[in-house]
Amino acid sequence: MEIDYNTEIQRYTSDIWEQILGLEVTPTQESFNPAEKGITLVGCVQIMGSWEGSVELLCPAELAKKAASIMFGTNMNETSQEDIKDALGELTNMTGGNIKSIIHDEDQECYLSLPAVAESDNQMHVPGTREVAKATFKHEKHLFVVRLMKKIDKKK
Amino acid sequence: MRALVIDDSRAIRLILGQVMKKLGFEVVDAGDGQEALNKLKSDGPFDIALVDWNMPVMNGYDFVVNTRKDSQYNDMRLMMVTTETEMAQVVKALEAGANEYVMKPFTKEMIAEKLTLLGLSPE
Repeated sequence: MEIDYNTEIQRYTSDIWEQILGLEVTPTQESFNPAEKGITLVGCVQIMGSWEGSVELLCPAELAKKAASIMFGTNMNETSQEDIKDALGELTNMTGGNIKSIIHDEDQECYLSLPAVAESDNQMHVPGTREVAKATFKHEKHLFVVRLMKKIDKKK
Repeated sequence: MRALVIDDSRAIRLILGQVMKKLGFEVVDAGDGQEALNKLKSDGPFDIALVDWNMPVMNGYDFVVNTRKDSQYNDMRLMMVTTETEMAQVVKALEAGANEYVMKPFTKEMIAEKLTLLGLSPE
């Protein structure tokens, strides 16, 4: 049966943000343009093994700060850059782990890297990969994106 | 009762630690498997260790394997709390000596239910 990656990403992401942060996030058709939204943070985990690619979480710094303040139980103005990167990294890790479980055959092994978080004014581009799914979410005034990228098989 | 929370994310250590404290446990934490092995020696014994899978230095699976090699930790329950959600990973961890498996994202209720199954009934 064909898996609808977008639907699965929407389900996992909504569950993670609700259960870990208590925040309601809803899928939206609005377009997320990092360049227009100030500083954007990108969380990324690599998937290696029988399925190769990555999962990326593109999130405005302000929303990432809110997530971190909830996770660490601090005020927004007390939340450090280290806290923000830790929180976004773990949200990316959970998202990637859940997506990984549906993208490859169960009898083949697949591994998840540790998460990396970087600051970017532009969408992150991983050479040699193509986007296979993308879901945009809204929380209050903020938009954020989860993308599933697959390594291009050069043999084909 | 005493719990060792092992996760490379400080946020998860904090959240899981708070859950365990609410459930009546005294909590010590560690940021990777090697640090956890050191804390077993310096701060043990613990009734349970809650173990992430993907961590730097020493991952959670290797921590489980190393812990189960040492008979002095036979009574300590090991619960994986991880994003590794595939059945193959669950089986691998259980075969290595983990007692229970919780997939992230978790809730307090999920953790409490697993503790009860392990005979560590929350307060």
